[in-house]
Amino acid sequence: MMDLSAYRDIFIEELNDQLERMDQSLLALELSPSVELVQTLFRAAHTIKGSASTMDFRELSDLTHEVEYALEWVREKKPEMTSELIDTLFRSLDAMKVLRDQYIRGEAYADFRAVVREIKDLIQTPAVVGKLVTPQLQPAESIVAQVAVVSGKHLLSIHIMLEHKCMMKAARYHILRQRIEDICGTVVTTSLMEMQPGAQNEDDHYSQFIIIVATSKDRQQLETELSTDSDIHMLEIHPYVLESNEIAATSAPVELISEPEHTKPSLPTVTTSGSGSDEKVKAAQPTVRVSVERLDHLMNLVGELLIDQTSLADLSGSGARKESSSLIQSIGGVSDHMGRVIKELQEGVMKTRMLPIDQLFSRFPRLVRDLSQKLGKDLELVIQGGETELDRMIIEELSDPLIHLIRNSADHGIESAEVRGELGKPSKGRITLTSFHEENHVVIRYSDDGKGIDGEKIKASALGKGIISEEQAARLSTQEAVHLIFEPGFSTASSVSEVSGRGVGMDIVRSQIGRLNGIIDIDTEVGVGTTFTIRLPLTLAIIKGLLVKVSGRVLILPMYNVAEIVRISPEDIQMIQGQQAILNHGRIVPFHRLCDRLNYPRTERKSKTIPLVIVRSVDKIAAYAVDEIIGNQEVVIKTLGTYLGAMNHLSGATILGNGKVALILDASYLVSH
Amino acid sequence: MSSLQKEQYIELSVGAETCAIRIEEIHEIIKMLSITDIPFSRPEIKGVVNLRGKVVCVMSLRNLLGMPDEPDTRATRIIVVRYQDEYIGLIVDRVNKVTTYSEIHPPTGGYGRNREGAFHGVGQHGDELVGILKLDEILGG
Repeated sequence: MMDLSAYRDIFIEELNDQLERMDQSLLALELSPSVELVQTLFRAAHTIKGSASTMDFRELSDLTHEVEYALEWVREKKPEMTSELIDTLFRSLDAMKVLRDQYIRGEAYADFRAVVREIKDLIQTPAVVGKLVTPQLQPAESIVAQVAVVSGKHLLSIHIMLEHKCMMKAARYHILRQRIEDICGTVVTTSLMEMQPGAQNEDDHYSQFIIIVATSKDRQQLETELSTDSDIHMLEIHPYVLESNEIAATSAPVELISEPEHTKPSLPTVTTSGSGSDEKVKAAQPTVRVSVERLDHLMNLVGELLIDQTSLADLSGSGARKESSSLIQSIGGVSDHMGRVIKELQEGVMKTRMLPIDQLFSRFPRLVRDLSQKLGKDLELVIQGGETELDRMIIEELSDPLIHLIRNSADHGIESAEVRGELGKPSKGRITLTSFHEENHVVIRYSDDGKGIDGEKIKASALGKGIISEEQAARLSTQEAVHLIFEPGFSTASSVSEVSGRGVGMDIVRSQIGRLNGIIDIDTEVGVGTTFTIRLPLTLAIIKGLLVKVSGRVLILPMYNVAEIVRISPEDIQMIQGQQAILNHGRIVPFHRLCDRLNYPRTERKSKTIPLVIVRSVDKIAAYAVDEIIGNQEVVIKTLGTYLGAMNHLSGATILGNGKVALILDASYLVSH
Repeated sequence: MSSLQKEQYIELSVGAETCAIRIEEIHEIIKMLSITDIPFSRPEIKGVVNLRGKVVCVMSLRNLLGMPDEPDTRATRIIVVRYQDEYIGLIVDRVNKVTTYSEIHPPTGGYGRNREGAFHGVGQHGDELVGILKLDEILGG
């Protein structure tokens, strides 16, 4: 066999793209049916099918084949876009995604025959929706069955659904019944579709039937023999259990639309993939797509650096003969030029890591749609500024916090349509996601027009849960109380629901945003809505850092977290409840000496005032005294490696101009521990 | 033990003791660099250094073998080794030479608790006996 592992990554990437495209088109299709969208879906499915079978990924190509077939049917027949139809398509899309994930992880593939059947049923919706009932055994039949069991045979229930296009169903039924009798020996009883009154077509009566047989053959054998018969759309064989007090107990009706539990139980639900080669287990390597234009730009810059290098070599060669002052001037010129090129190169390389935030936002319409259905609320998602670019790693990390926010809004924030009506709000709840650049940050503004967060209620709830004490509660302003939602174990939902309300969500939001060096502001008004403003650095690879000196060591604080730099005199430090604090713009800010926090020895203070860095992370704030403020500079973050063990107080290290290593402090850890 | 015999070793000193490390395990040997200490790290971790743009963690081999630290001298070196896909520096008092051993004895017991399993064996070169360090054990423990 051809070695396909080389194409694996490309395949996965393409698959991701196409699945994403299908997801979006399907969402759009639900809103407004259009032929073009169906065509887009069809093309995407076709592409996936093709590449999956090239990659010998049969499970996916088979499933996609059915999806493609269904889409073709939609395109040709132009049926009404019922929610069942859309749901079925969504379910098959989800199934494709599951297969993709299993492929990437090299796991065994799940069985999606139920989904395939659902798709098939969709296309061949029988004209009459009737009921098929597992037959009840009449006394005489029961005796036949019992005799058969005693003589070592077993009972099987054969459920057959004929192809919709099968012409003479009645004849077909009789032929099949005869054939089954020939194979098995004894037919105990049969049961046909119950007709709805007024049904036109007599034949539909025979479109589905259940035959109970007593046989010595086993299920698989029977299945193989019957599977070759024409006109059978679906065949299910189950063991039939004879009730002890026979003359059947309550017979369970079998709904026409097959449910997942109707899958043939005789088969294992999980089939293992054909080849267990090591390549398959290997996780997909993250890849970056860079436009040729960007790449050419980088190449040009590298070219310029080469020229600079040549001129430096020339200068060094001619240096001996030249006067030193003019030499230094020339070197200075080259150095300036190099500096500019390197700066541009740095920005260019950083841009290759950037992705439009739409990559993330485009996942949410589907989430909102599902939530909307699950909760029975009418929700609308408005996305603005999806083209804003952000480091790909940040985009990945942002997914969970935003999902939590959306779930919270949908579940607790936005009122039901009736309540909204009474309040004079539009019945459709609106969630808005906006993103834009502001200075060196990316701002993501998330807002809903729900009921807002009631600070007083939050306070009462936090008090009840023991998160804050009585006196703390008394001191908290309403605005501050809102921030309590970020405390671990806090959840305002009175009942735990499936969607949210486990009391962990907002806590995760805070820690995740903190990890990304971000900050969150909450702006909420009771009855009007809530807005979360998340500010994030553009990239995590290079940050602007504030260099400070503590106990003779240079340390770096990320600039995003530096709220303010002030100088205070020692008298400004006050003791409040056994904790040193200062007053800053009317706020009480906890005061620490950075050297104490890091177990460094204290140094003798020479000046009268203390330089102070006010550090902010997510929603917490603290002031740190340092020995000296050096200034700010762009620093490249280097990892400390895993050998050191967990170093939560550090987010990495960097190399300073003098070649020494300086540690970068993790502001969020510093502030919250 | 025959496979160990043909290999080359770097012989080094810590305190009064002479040890050896298989040359394959060594990435490079550098002179002492300025070390940035790391708060809240294990005592044997002396800090990190800049190894041509890479941040490398540096440990005291003296501490790892249960000896107290001594001030650095002109002979102090950092032996950079590879351990689990990372570079780690080991501070030693002196690097003596590259050598091979004609005979390697199995490790002798009774070294005390710090030394349990720290050696592959004892190399013999003439009358000299040198403990061959087992890096996995020393760094992993």
